[in-house]
Amino acid sequence: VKQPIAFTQNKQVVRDLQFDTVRRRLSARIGSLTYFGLPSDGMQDVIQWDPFLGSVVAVERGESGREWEVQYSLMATAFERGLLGKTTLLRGDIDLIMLNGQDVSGRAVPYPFDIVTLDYSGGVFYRDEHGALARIEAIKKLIECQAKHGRDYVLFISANLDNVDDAEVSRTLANVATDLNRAGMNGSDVIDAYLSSKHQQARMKLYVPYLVSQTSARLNYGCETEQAVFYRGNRDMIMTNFRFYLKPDLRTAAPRSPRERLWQVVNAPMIEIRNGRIRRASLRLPLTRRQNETPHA
Amino acid sequence: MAKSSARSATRKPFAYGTIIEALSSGLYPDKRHILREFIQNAFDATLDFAKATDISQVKPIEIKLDGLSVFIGDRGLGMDRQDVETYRYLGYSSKARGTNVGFRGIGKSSGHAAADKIIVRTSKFGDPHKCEVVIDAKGMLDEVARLKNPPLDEILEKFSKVSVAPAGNDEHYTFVELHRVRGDARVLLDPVVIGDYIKRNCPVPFDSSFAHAKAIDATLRANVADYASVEIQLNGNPLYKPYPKDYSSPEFERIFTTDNEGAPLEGFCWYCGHVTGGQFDEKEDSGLVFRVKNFAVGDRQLTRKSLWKSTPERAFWFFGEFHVVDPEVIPSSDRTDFEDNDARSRLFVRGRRVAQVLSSRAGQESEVRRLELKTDEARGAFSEKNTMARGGELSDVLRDDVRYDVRRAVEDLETRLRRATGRRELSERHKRAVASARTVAKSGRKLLKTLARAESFYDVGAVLHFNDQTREAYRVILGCLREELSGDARFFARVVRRIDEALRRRFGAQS
Repeated sequence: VKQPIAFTQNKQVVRDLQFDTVRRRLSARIGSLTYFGLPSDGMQDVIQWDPFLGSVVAVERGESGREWEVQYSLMATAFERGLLGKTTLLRGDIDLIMLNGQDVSGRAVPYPFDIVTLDYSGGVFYRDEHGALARIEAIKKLIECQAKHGRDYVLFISANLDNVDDAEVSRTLANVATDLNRAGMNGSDVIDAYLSSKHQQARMKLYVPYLVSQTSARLNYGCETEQAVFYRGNRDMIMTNFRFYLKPDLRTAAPRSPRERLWQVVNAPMIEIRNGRIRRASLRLPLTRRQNETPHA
Repeated sequence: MAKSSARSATRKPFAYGTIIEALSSGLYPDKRHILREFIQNAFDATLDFAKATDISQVKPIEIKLDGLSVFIGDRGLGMDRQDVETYRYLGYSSKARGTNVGFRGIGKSSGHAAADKIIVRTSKFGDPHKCEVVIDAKGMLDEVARLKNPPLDEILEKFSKVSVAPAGNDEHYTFVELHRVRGDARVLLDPVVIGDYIKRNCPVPFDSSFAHAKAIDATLRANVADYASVEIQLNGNPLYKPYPKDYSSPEFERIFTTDNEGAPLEGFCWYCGHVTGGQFDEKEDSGLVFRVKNFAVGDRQLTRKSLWKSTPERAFWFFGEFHVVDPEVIPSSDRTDFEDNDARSRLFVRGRRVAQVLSSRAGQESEVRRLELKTDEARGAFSEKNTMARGGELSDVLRDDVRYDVRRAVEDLETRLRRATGRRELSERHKRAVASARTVAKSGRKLLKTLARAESFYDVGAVLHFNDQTREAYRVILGCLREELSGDARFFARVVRRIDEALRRRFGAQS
């Protein structure tokens, strides 16, 4: 009998933070919210948020060659927890599902969703056999598909730090530096510090919000980024978690630059969860400032 | 001892894998029955749990059609390790014939005909374990095809696995997945078809919007010992028995095994007629359906064919259920009929009483409806003719036709009245119809007297002072028309009226 994966105390705190985001951001639709994500066969987040949810679209790939096992386990959990009626299972790799708009059996992804939880067990920077960053492309595609429906939603992304040193990250952070420099800020200094930091989560903290913010802005969506989180998950692996609230901004047909300023994203403190407690992380990174301003901690 | 061992070592198996194919595919040409088999198991487990714990509020059976899979879950008694081991066996069942809906131990293998894998996770009430059995049906059937005649035992053992894990003491459920439903069984994935099938065939409750739901349910519980219903949800939505519109109050019929009313009960029947008589518009919901332990056996045609020997169309003037109580009446494996035995013959013979009662009621209702219809028609015709006769507006040409029509209508009503008053009992509706028909027949007799008077008719030739030749021409023309329109007297009368009006307009001033 396949037993659901255990989760850490820290993971539960992350779940609570996400729960709080859902409650604050989507209060008007509570009870009928649509969920899309990777709840795993334990379905802990879905179980916790059940009273808020009207439907659940769960994606599960399963273990290669025994895909049915975890997929069945997920549905068995849904049944045991009284969630079977509202749960739909999409089978296969979530990146491919988001990119192709359907799962391995040809079931379409029923956009739009109110809550998207991309709770990856790995990182976001893996490259496929063609060298493409499939996960990044899949996230962009999801934001694009959601935008077609013009509805606000929350997006949660959890990932580990695998391949954070991919050239993609350094190039993107260089763009961030350029944008900050153009705005008359100390972009180069700050981004150099991020790139050379021994804390890989620092680079994640800039990359993921920048990706979501820029992608959504192009689609006339405003993005509000909540404090990025890092914590130790299973097997003591450092995980990062990001919470976004995306809202359509249809005042103009032409896209506008993100309403959330880049310096705000850079200067936003990261929080750390240790032993189930939230604390402000100290990554010892400089803040952005106007070139003529005095630096402050 | 040594001899025995030697014999067992060389023993040839008595059963081969092809039996799996035959029992699974061959037994279920209609793949929807496969789902019913799993619902039967869930139903039995749910009732077993209720009996074991004295809990009357049982939890729903849940069915989820999801992608290429069908999930069936119940919160019944569940199975322990030993039960799960035997779940793999073919034709083995610990259930008792007559006590549970399923008993042959074959239904659980029906999934082999529909899906690549059957996965069952279960936890028995009070047992701190949960067990899982995975049956690789595709592997099994592929192996049978590849090896032609592999021994049955080997196949069953090789392609099914049992595993066990700890669980809470109070957990009790069974959750089945028919994984990757095959192409020829895709009907199982259609929520509309499956929803309709479950509503009509499984022991779901009556719809609370059906006005007599509570009364019928209570009467069934009081009269049918093994009657029970369980909520079944399909994709999260509860299903209820369908019912047609415009139904009358329910009636009940006990059917005994002999003419003696003290004899054991053969069955118990409830039915509702159409509020105004006649067949229901919803053909698929009318007629009676046999039920055993509240699961349907056959469709509404089975009662019609087996119980109605004449006027079979009258079966559809009613809708209802015939709950078979006799434990010797056994549904066939696919539940499209009963096993052919003496008990079935007795059921069909004794059940004919229901058909007789319903046909007689339908006959009486038909009589009332015809009487009401004929009365209404006669009332309208008599009133029209009476007005015309009093105004002298009836053409002399139509004199015989009009009098014949009125006489015939009066006599028809009087015949129907005689037939009705000859009955021992009349319903209130029938009594009202009789009273009304009597009044109209009386008015018809009075009209005949009016029509006997010359001033009730006019002669257009006399009114317009036609000469003899014109009169003759008029007669010839109307004679031809009468012949041509002999099949439609009303139309002929209308034509005559129009001609007379036209002649009056054209020649009235000159005359």
